[in-house]
Amino acid sequence: MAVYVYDGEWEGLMTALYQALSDDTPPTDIQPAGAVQPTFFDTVIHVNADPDTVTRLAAGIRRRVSDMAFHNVLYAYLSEIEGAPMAIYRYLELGFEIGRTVDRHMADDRVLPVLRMVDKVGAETHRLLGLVRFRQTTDGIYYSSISPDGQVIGLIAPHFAERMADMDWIIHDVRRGLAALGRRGEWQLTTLPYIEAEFDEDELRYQEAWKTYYRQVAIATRANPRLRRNYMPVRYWKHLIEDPYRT
Amino acid sequence: MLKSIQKGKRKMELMEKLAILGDAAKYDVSCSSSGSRRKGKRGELGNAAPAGICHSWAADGRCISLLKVLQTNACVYNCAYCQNRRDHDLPRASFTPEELSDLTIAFYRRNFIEGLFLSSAVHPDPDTTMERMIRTLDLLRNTHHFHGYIHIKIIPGASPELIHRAGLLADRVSVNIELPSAKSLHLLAPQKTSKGILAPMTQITEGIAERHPALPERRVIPMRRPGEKYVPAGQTTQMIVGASRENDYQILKLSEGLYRRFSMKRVYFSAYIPVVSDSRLPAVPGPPLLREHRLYQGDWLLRFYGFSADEILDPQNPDFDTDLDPKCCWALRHLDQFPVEVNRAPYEMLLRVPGIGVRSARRIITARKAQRLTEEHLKKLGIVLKRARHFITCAGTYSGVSCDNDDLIRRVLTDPRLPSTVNLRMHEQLSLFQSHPTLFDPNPLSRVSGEF
Repeated sequence: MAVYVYDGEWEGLMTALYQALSDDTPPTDIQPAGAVQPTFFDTVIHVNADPDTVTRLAAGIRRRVSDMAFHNVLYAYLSEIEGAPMAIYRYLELGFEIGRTVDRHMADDRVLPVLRMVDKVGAETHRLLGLVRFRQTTDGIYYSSISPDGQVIGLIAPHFAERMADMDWIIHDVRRGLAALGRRGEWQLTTLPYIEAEFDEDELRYQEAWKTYYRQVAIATRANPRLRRNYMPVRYWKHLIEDPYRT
Repeated sequence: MLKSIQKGKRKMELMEKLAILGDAAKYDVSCSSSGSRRKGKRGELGNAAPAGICHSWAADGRCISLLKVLQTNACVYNCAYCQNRRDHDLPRASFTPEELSDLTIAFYRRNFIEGLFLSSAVHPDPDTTMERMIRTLDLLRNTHHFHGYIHIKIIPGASPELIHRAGLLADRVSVNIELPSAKSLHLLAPQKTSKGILAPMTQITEGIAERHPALPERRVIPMRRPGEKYVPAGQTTQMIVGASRENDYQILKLSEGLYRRFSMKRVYFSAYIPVVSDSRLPAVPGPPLLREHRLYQGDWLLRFYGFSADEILDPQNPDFDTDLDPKCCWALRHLDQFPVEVNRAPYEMLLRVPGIGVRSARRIITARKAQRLTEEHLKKLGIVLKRARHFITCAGTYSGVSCDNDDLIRRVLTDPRLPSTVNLRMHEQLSLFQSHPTLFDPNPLSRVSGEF
């Protein structure tokens, strides 16, 4: 029984999936390096990312299953949910068997887990389009920190590149040490473990203004903190400027 | 040094204005930023996403999408229900168009908001008020080159030329219908007239209709240059519920009429909140939130579920049920149409099943192409069966309590002491209760047995 171990990156996963799908016997697991250790009885196969294989599998999924299936595989990977690689494996195995109608099998255990991951990533992406908060540094750059559940930074960056097309901005995933750097409509992804920023008084005044607005906009006779938490889970609060803890 | 102090003072004032003019606008219900697609332009600020984006949620659970403020809260009108009425003693403030456009841009760049929702009290007259609001929009669009979302409130009585200009600058416009009848309007807002409200609504509807020259009954001479957008996100309105005597049926019929006649994108309801005392207003302990909620449920049935107002309520039953949602009530009155088989029922009928919404109905339609759906499958798809189970069969199996006893279903759904699923088949219950009547007596289930 084989356990495939890859580097944790997209290319590594795609290469591992290709190898696992080419094998006659199904794998026990597919894991990013450093995750749970395989048991004594498993054969560990270390996979090295191979760009040609990635291209071949991507094209294969699009041609023999569907563009939607490829999108789903990517989003499930970005969810970083434990067990995602094996869920993707089962999804693709069925996908290559039955083709483009695979997503109709929504209630099938080979499809449902992947669709749940896709929904989760989609929902978090949309949520963050609203919850990102920029602070203007003394250098004139607009800086925002986030720590999302999934690796959605590359999914939200294009939105801000189009919207903030006359600004320089940084969205910093502090959990993963990744940053999207935006400049006049273009953006790129880079690693960024740590950054120091300074803010001037004008910036702090705008932050105060927003806090003031946030506080007063709530109608006291309709107070409903639970509803607020449903829409805006507490784990997102620490990067906000308004202070829901106090209001 | 002196300069920075002066600057500080100016900002302080701005902050006070924001507190006053934000507070004055917060009873406006709508904050939606949906329905418009504006592409970003290279080197310029902003775009608009058709789905709308919420940026935060306030302590009352309402979404904050737009900076919702008044241009001024000084008012020459004296409407009974309004906190900005002339006779109300409260601090007054006004934004200059420059201040407000600068603030909007500063908030937008920090991603606090999708754009601006601009309303105003009326001072000194509708045209002057509207002109200042338009000046704010003009600065945003043509000086700041801002392509984000703008919703502007039309001031009844403003000239048609100003209304047209507002429509060219904004994504969405709204005229408040204020109250559900002309009579109530006359009583509580005597300076406003239903004619003054309906005229700008009509103008906007006709202006929007120019986009559809193919429709034969809407032949209007184009007033716009090619490529010019006019109210791309459509028109909405809102009314206060609970400040006057209309029943739910009248309100729902009015909404339906507004959707049909003015092609409204939304009709908003605002539960009446007493902010000023007036002998013409009812004394209420708090805003009628459940009633507002039911009205929105009814509104959803009109817009997304293919219902008409007369199916939902009628003059004999003019008010919503407090215990059950309107669709459930409709279904209980029409048990002859149920249960429906989820593997065969058309989409329109699935939408009429209590507990099945648009998303669930779509999932069923997709999933049943691949396999015959059982109750287990529905659960996996995330479909909530609490209400639905009484109105459907899954691959021939029925797991509700009754196909023809609406009272029994109602009790199971509304009595929290009853189990939400009753596993016993009906005839079994019947015989069980009949043979052991005393055994079950204090048990809430015995009240069910009384039905047989």
